[in-house]
Amino acid sequence: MSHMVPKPWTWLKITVVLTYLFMLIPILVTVAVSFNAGTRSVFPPEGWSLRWWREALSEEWRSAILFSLKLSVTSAVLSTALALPLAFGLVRHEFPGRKALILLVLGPLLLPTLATGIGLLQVFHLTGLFASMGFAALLIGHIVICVPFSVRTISVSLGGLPPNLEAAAASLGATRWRILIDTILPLIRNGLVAGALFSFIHSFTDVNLSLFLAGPATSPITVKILGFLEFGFAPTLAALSAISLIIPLIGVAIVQRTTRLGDFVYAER
Amino acid sequence: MRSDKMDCAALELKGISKRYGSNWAIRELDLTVAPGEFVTLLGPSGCGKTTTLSVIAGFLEPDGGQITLDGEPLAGRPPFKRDIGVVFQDYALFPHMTVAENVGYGLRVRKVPAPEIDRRVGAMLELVRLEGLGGRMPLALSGGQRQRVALARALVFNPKFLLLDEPLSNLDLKLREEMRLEIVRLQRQLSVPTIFVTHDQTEALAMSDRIAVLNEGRVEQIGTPRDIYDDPANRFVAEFIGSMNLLDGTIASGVDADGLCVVKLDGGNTISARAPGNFPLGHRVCVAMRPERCGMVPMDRQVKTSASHLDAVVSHIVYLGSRQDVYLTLPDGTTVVSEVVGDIDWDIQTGQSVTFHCDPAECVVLSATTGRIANDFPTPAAKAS
Repeated sequence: MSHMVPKPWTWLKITVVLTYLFMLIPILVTVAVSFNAGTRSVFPPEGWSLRWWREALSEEWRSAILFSLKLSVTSAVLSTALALPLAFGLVRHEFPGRKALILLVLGPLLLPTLATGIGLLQVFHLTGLFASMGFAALLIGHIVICVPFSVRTISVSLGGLPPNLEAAAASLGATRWRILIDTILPLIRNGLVAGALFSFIHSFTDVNLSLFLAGPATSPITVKILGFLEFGFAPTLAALSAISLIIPLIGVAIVQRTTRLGDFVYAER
Repeated sequence: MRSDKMDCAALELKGISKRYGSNWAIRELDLTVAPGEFVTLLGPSGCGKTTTLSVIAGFLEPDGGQITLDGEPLAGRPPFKRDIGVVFQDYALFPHMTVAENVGYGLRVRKVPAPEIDRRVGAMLELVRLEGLGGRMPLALSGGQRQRVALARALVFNPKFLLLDEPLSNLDLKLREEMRLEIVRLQRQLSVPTIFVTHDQTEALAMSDRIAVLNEGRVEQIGTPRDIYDDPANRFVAEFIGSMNLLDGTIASGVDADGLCVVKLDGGNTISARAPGNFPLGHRVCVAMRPERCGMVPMDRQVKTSASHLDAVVSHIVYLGSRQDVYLTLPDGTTVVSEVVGDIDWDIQTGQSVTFHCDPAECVVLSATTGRIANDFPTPAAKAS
């Protein structure tokens, strides 16, 4: 009967398909539920309607989505700007405490964001400024958890630069500043873009950290959804989940056109 | 321009040292390059040649010593203010710029007006025979073309000096030989003083006005290719440049009127050889003979009486087309080689006993250690001057 045994490739295909189904089914169910005509979140949907999407795009939810967008775009830009000099220092220079700094920078990636959140909350309270911080508290927290992503992608890009490029530019008469503008930035553009995108996604989808730092007037969409869950899983939430899924996907789709994100996800050349 | 300015060296290194931790990459290095001169730094890897180049370009600060370019000290001056063109081993072209943008970069950062940049880049591309390729990206070029772009980029802003860091080592043999001539042609045409770094002795011999042989961070010898080849200063240079038969022995006589002395070889024989210095009797030396200047004849044939000769046995013969290398074993087991161009006019056989011979003027006595023996034991003539 040995000729009946499927070839290894068949098994691989089956595994891949099952893995994707496992990952995608909950999302597909959620999306389907959001188009439900009934008032209960059931699958399969009881008829089709857009009422829950209308609900999800009402003023109340829209402002939360916009708040999240503002927060994650700002954190993405600032954490990437902060990560550039950091990555430079870590990749290019040997100095005492370099290893410790690497750990410190990548720390938020390894620690549960929950722990980071509690820690930041305590620090802010100690300074006595938390009440007046509002958006700034969230922004600082999000930058802390986003910086590791940008540092990683920028480091990969910097590491891939030909070794003598800067020396060549310098010998041709370029100052350090011109070398950065003319040579380094254009060549590590992909790392910057990928870092900013990963930071954006990470910030946009974060719940754990935001939970601790959000206030009534400063709640990202994720925290708002969590709060709404207390009243049960209304189909509005399904539509909102779909929206918070689509926004990062749009970001990926745009960036993927110019940058090979896979280089940074699977990476190591 | 003042005339003494014209005479002064283009580049002068005085006592340059560079240390990494406790290792000296270069130590007390002195070197002078005349205007328009092509000097090669030749040595094995780790001899300090690339460090020397980096120090001149300003990528590294030396730990000691002084560099002057056209009479001006370079200490503390950053690379972008040195006006020194550099060609790197990996070319280091900017991958995101076209060929023309690469070549014009040095002019752009000097704020040369755009029309003049275009004109000079065009002229330079023509000079390196890349006319019409200005719009290409570097990755779309062959190795030889990239090399030319790198040269054009380093020369277009009329640098005061040109540094070439093993620029040929990434090319295949044929291209390498072509680029050798090309680089020398450009250098002569633009008359830019140049230091060329290589570990390839053939390149050094073929291209240079003068060669500086480096070893362990020191200059072993500086001279024209012919000087270096014919009169190696010591055993290191003799072994590094070309192939060399080396026989150990001790000095057994003073130097005669023809500059020859007798060396008692460790194998027991004595031979007569040219002494570049006045060695004391009994001094440990080795006798160096170029294989192409050594010959052999069957035992029964007479050798010219003045020739230094030794009994030997043919151990094997390597046929190389344009020449044959005959490996011979001396009675004490030492191997020597004789390179014979063309046919050998007698029936040579492996295992045959022959007489190995060499003109005494072609046998050079070297101190067994490194260092310059001519300085340690100067001849009376050298002392007088």
